[in-house]
Amino acid sequence: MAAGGALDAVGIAAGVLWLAQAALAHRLPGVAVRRALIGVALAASVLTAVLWAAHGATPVGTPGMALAVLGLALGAWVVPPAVGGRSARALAAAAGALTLAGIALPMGPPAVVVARGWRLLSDGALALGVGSLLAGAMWPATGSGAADRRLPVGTALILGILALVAYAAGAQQHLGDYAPGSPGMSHRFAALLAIALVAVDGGARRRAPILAAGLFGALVVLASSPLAAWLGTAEAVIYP
Amino acid sequence: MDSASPQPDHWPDRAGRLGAGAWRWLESPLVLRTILALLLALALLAGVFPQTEPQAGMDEARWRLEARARWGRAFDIAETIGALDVYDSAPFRLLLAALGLVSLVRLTSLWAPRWSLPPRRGLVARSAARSGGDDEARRPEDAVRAEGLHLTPLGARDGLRFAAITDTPSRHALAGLLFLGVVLLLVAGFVGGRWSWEGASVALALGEETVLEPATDLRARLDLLEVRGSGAPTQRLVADLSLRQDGAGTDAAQTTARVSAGQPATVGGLRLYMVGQGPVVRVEAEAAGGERLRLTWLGGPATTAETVRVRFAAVEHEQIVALTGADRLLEMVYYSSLPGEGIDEPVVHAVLRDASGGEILAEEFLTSDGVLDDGRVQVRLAAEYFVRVRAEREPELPLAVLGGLALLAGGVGQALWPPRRGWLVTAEDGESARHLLLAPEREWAERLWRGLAGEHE
Repeated sequence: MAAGGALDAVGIAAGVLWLAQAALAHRLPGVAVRRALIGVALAASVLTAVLWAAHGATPVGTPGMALAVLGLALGAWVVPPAVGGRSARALAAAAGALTLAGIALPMGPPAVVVARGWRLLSDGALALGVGSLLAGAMWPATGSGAADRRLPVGTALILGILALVAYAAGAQQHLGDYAPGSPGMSHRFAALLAIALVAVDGGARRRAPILAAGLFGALVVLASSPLAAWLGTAEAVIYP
Repeated sequence: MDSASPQPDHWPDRAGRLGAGAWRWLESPLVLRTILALLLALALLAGVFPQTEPQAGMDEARWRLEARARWGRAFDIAETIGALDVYDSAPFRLLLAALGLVSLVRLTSLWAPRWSLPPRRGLVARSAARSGGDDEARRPEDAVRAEGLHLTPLGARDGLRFAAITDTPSRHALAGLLFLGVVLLLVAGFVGGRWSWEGASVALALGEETVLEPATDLRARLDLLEVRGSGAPTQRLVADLSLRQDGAGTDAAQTTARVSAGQPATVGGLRLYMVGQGPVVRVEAEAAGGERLRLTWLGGPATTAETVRVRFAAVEHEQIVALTGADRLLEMVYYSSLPGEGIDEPVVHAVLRDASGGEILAEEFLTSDGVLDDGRVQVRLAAEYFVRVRAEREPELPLAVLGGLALLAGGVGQALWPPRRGWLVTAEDGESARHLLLAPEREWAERLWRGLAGEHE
């Protein structure tokens, strides 16, 4: 494992807690105990992302952190009371698996030295938005959550827009161009379009398109960092 | 279930029918999804292939050379099919125009209910009847109001009254901001394309002066460069520029501006951005007798001076300075680090060579200031920085900011409080009435229908 120390420990704890939640939630004695376990797992996931950011990484700039933040997003959607039973266990299992996979990947050097605030906001919103979309595909098919999947898909839309707007604000401030046509902008634009495609007119009722859009978004998030480095455009020097 | 139009099938005229059909088509989810899917395909293309920089000039020429060397024949193929300039291509612009039109139609439909038409798909038709003695059934106005909705009359024809059911103005306004945001951003793009101006990115070392805006002969000189913070991740350069505009041979008012990365300055109608920075080596040389030698930077201006500031545009970039009258050449190569030499910070490899024989006379790895001395000539080197500055006129920026904020607010509105919309056709006959409610399959529509039918709780 490349990521060492506190980050490893907290990340592994978060992953194990989510997996424990998935395996044992239905055997726990009461709702209060279950919610406490969710709370601790969520806090550990948030702390993992914070420690990663403190190392200098951003979610889209580092595949490991991208996986962990996707896991955080999936785990966060276990919280609403409408989600329960198999859906909650599936979300918790996915959150645990993604968090542990993220910790297993190399941490990588800090990549971004300018517009760090905007990049953190943009990258975080993008990864959390794509995670919300994946959560929408796992949304309960029965019970009170069956009405539709508007909430996670709608949240993904808001976060996708925020990701693009924050990136544009950073680009304007540092390059004097809010739409620089850089790989970073194209990736965010593509992820937002994928989210918008399933969110059109609240068309969030069917699971398959949401899952497809979510997986596509996850691919874009995970591929962004290696793609930008491989393409190595001139402007990537100051604002990748 | 497919819904029918509440309006009669026989529109008064053919143009009206065609117009309504076109309006309905533009408002349909299918058209929006098609546009989004095509834009997605182009965005992917732009994300995979490197895009040419919008600004022409030396930077783009160098970029092309480097990209062609890196990609080989694939670069030419990508260029031929337009994959290197996706955001400036006609298909992309056409799709943006289509998205703007669809957004405008949807915005009008949301904010002006009289212009709204029920879609052909996605609505459920429910009928309800109210007889004269039926005290339980509500009047349409009351039933709609009980749900917190509004009834907007659309007109009457052949004994039928048509009305649009709309949500509260605040929910409509908030949701419509999403489409307003798209329109504003597209208008900002158009305004920017027509009326904005972007100067070349110019490199300035200390004491250098260059033209920022050729049309007005606005010149900038780098007076002071302050290094804030220590170490690569936190180090930041703050540049003090003095600006002057020569007019008819006389100096106009001189002004100053302070710029740094992420903190542009506004001067008059211009915004000045620091878009890059890099290393500079200041070179001075003197002969054994102490007299200063004149220097010529072979990659720089074709002049000689006692002090030259040599810029390095990229790592492993070699620069050569000729020492006039001393038969010496100073060669310098810039590296971000040299692990082989045990140096893990930016370093310049400086070599003083005999110009005629090519023999190396002195050599140093410099991470800060240093001296090369071959006994006859002494060369003093000092590490400095240059900055890249670009001037722009951006009349579209306020519109773009408004568009971005509207997009964000509209996204929140659409996602958390999606506007409720429906249509009502009423046939009245004395005291009794029949209603046809066209609305999505949602709980509020069910409750409204129950209210109209007198089944409310």
